[in-house]
Parts: sequence; C-alpha cells; structure tokens
Amino acid sequence: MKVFRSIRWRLQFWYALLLALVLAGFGLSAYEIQRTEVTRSTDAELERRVGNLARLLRPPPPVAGRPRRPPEDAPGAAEGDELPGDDLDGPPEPGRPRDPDAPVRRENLALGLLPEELADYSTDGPGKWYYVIWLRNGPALTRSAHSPADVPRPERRSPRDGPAVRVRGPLREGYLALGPGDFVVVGHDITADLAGLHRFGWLMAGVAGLVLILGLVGGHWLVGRSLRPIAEISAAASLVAAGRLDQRIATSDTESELGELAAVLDATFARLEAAFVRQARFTADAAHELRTPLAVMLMHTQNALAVTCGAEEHAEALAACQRAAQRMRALTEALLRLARLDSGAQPLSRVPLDLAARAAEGIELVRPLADRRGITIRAELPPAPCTGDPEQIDQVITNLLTNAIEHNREHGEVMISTRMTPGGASLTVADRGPGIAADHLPHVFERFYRADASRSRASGGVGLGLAIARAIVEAHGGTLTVASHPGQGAAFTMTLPSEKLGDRTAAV
Amino acid sequence: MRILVVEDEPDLLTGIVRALRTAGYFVDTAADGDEGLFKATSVDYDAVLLDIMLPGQDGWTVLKRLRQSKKTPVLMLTARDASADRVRGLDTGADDYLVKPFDLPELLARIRALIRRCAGQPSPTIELGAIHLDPVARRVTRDGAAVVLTAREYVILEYLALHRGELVTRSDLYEHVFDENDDTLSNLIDVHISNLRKKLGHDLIATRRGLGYSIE
Repeated sequence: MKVFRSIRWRLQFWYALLLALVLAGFGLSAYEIQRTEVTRSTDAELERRVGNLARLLRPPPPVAGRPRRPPEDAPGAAEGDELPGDDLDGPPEPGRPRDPDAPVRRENLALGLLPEELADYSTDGPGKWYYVIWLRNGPALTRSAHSPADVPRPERRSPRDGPAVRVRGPLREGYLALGPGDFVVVGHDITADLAGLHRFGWLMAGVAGLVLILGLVGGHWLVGRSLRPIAEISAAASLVAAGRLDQRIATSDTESELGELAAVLDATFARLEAAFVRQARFTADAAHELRTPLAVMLMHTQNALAVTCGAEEHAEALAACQRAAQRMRALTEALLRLARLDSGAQPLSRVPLDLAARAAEGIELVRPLADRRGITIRAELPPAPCTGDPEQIDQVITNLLTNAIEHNREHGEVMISTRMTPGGASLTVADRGPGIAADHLPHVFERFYRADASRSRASGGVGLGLAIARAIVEAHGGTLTVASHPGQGAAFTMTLPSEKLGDRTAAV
Repeated sequence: MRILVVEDEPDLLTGIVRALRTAGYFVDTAADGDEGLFKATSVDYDAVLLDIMLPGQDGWTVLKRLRQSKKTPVLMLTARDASADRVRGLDTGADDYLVKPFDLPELLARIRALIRRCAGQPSPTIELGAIHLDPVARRVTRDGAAVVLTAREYVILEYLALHRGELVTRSDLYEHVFDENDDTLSNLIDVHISNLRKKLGHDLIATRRGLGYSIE
C-alpha cells in the first residue's frame, strides 16, 4: 500500500514507536520507583511496630527487663529471656489487653501498648494495622481487634534473625521471632496503598498517552514541513518529465539538504533545457538549410514545366537544380557525419601519425584553391608526432586551410605551423583576413553559426565545417581553439594528445 | 504591376524573377537587406517579396524600417516555418507569409490577392461596363469577345482599373508598369494608352491634361 511506503508515514511510524518506547520506559520506571518507595516505607513501619511490640514483650535485659522480672514467681522466670507461654491461661481475648489473670509479661504488653499505640490498631477497613502475638507454640496469645482470624504462625526461625516481611494477598505482615515458637506479627492491609499505586499508574499512562498524541501531531506537522520541498521538487520534476522544460523548483529554502538537491536538480533541468533548445535549433537550422535548395529546385522545375521556354532556359533551370542538389548532398553528408560523431558510432582508428606530414599533404590539396585566389601558403612544419585517425585529421586540416583561404583578403597569406607543446602535438592555421568579431568568436564552432550569412553561402559552405572539425578533434581527446583580433586575421589551433607507446586509451 | 524581390540565394532569385516576369509582372531584385530597403523605400512597389535570412540587415529589420514610411504590401518568404516566426512576421507589418519551399501557383495567387486587397478591390475580376478583366488569366473581353492586348497594355489597363475613379499620374504608371531594367521614353505611355483606346473604345480612359489618366 502506498501509505506504508510513503516516507512521511514511515517516519511517523518510527517516530511514534520510539516515542512510545521512551514514554513506556519512563512511565514504568516511575511506577516501579513509586511502588518500591511505598513498599519500603510500609516495611519500615512494620519493622518499627514489630520492634516496639518485641521490646514490650521482652524488654532489654539491662534497662527495662530486669526490674520487671524479679517480682514474678512464675515457674518460667528462671529461664531468662524466654516468655512463659505455657502458663498462660488459654488464648487471650482479642482486643482485651488488660486481662487481670494474665502473667506479668502480658501485663507488660498491655501496659506498653496503652493508650496511644493501641489507637494505631483500632481502625478497621483498608489500611488497617493489626498485630498477633504467639508464645511458646501455642495458639495466638493476643491479637488486636481487627486482625484477620486466619493469620498463620510464621515458619520457625531463629531469634537471631532480624525482622522479616511476608505478603499474604492484600496483607503485608512483618514478624519477628522472639524465641522458639514466640512470634510477633504486625500486619498492614495495603489495599489502599495498592489503590493509590494504581491511581498513580493510570495517571502516568494518561500523561504518557497525552504526550504521545501531542508528539505525534507535532511530529506529523514537522515531518510534513520538512518534506514539503520534496513535494515541490516532485511537482516541478513531473512537469519537466512531461516536457515543460522551462519549469524550475526554485525553492526558497536554499540551506537544507533538500534545498541543495533542488538546486542540483534545477541546474540539471537548465542543462537539459539548453540541450533541447540547442537540438531544436539545430534541427530547425538543418531544415532551413535544406529548404532553400528545395525551393530553388521547385521554383526552377515549375518554371521550366509551366511555360514554353527555350533550350537555353531549360539548361539554366537544370544547372540551378544541379547546384541545389549538390548543396543538399553536401549538407546531408555533413549532417550524417556530425550524427555519427555525436553518437560515437564511428570508431576512430588510432595510429601514430605526424601532423607535419598531414599538413604538407593538406597544403597540396588546397593549393589550386589558394592559387585561384592568389593566396600564398607559408608552412613551418617541424615533426609533431601524435596518434589519431589520419583520414579525419586530414579533414580537419583541409577544413581549416579552406576556411583560411576563403576568409582571407585577396593576395593574402595563410600560415600553417606545427609544434610540440606540453599538451601534445599542435597545429596552427592563421590567416590575414578580416578576423572574427569578439561577439561572434564564442559561437564559431556552433552548428550553422555564421558570422556573415552571405559569405558562407556564396562559397558553398553549409555552416557545419568548424562544428565537424571540433567534433572530430574532441573525439580524439584533443582541443580546437580560435584566437582572433578583428582586422588582424584569425588563428585556429588544434592540439592532439601525443600518447606514449603502450599508453593508448581506447577509442572515444 | 511592379514587384521587388529581396532574396540572397541567386538561383532562387533568378527562378522567382523568371516566374514573375512570365506572369506579367515587372520585377526588381535585391540580393541583401540594405539594397532591398533602399529600393523598397525609393519606389512604390505593388508588392515586396522579402526573405528573412539576408546578409546585411535581415528581413525583420528591413520590414520594420520600411513600415516607417511605406504601406507597400510585403510577402515574407522564408524557410523558417515556426508559428512564432509567422506571428512575428505578421505582427512586424508583413501582409502575408509563405514558407519555402513553395509552389509557384500559390506564390502567384498570393501576390494577386495582395495587390487586389491593397487596391481595395475584393473581387478577383474587374468589370468596367462592357469590359471585363480577369487578372488570373490576364484576359480582357469586350461584350464577351476577347480583346488581344500586349503585356504592357494589359498592365496599364489593370492598374488604371484597380485605381478606378482615381487620378493616375504618368509617373505612377512609370513606377508600376516598368522595371529598373526598362529604358523607356516618356511618350511610350501615350502610345500604349492610345492603343488601348483603339482596342477598347475612346471613352474608357479619360485624359486629365497635364496630370494623368483615369478610368471613371
């Protein structure tokens, strides 16, 4: 399902889970601490009360015990600390500490408990306190008014052990062995404490739930806020994908990671659009260049067919058609060549060659053209070894030479030179023509770009020669650059990497 | 009818010129924008065929500058076929737009329509009482019978008929029925007018002495 794959909902889910875990951990800890605290204070109170009762029943020998024992003539008196449980007359009535027949130690007990301490045991209901005292393994000697009837005698344990605590249902009982079979048990009904704990627990749960809801709502808002640029990016990218290449994300948020992403995407869209615009212009230019010769052919054939004209006019029409067809052939060949270079479908052969030797051949090729225009070619050709496709490099050289001759002044001269540079083998063709204006200079390698439309057309060029030359040089991993000052001619420099033997890269 | 063709492709220029001359127009030519603008502003052409991609000033500039002084109908002739280019051409002041390559009959029909519209003559044929002119076939009939006219005579008649009711001066006629290559003497106009009167009746064309001619 989409909603579970959405980043927003996944973030929300994990955020909720983490928050719930933190809240649960915090709540449970608080509850546990509270519970421990309640238990600890209850146990402390139990121990205090057990201690009190024990002190009453068996006063410390040096201080309180001795003065009380000698007046007693009971048989158990000689047994020291031991309570005379056997000579007690039956089980004492609960809540009646003052039994006139009771031995002295019962008297002690009753005396010690009166009156304030008894009051602690007088209330009933949840939270009540009670005590039960056993002597000599007999039935309970005495018990407080509200003690449950079923309080069992604790397990046998040594008087040397300290007070202990046991739990029976809602009752928590502290007990202490005073001697074999003698026990003091003080109990406390912790129902009220437990209820308080539960209330506390529910309060914690409620607060945690509230915090969770607030956290989730806030998190939802925060996640939505931080993901909003993604929606913008997505919307803009969809428009671009649908062909609206002029769309940009243009987010106001430029600092965050998403802002950076948006900027990168915008730059990509801009390059994409520029490429499309270039491609569209190239196609339009190519169509334009093909249309003009087509118009010539159509015009002349229709002229020749529509009217009765003489053989001379027919011949003229045919000649015009031939020129148009030749121009279209040159154009289609150039376009095909460019397309092959663009796609990289035409593998380049990389063989060692000398630019100087290729240049010398190129000069011979263009010499008739130069002679016709009265142009001198001066050459300065030291060896410049490099690697490349000889046929293609020849084409570049011929193209540069032809341009230099055609864009020269009458009886001017063309300089061609080679040299080795750190970048590789380089060849420069310079003319003494009118040069190229600065605003045209960056565009001379563009397809169909013409600084002057008439000149190129008159000389039969199709406006692709330099574009092809640069494509060829770049396919070789080299560079083709131009430098020109108006009035002082232009110089085109081709630099090809001269690779060392065994360091040949694959054909580009 | 005199037309200026501004086109930098020589073969296309000669083709258009030949076709237009065959169709009975008098044609001037210009191979770049500067020459085209100069000619278009110095002569009242019946129509200008203007290429856009021109050396010197391009067609847009020529059109814009021409419109500052002249109402000459302009037919843009270009290989640019994008709708934006057509809109731009028409909005700059062109009267029509034809994309290369074009068919000759369409070019001629558009030129005829352009001249007709410009003269405020919506109907493709012209009636002058008993005389009937068919500019497409360049044929004249009088009471249903064909009248044979020379090319120059026909053009003079058509020009006067298109400007019916107006005074057409002799220099107007010189501008519109001769081209830059004609080397004519002024009295030739009178010869053609007199020939027309012989063939079509003496009442058709009135002479305003010292001013020119008109067809009422």
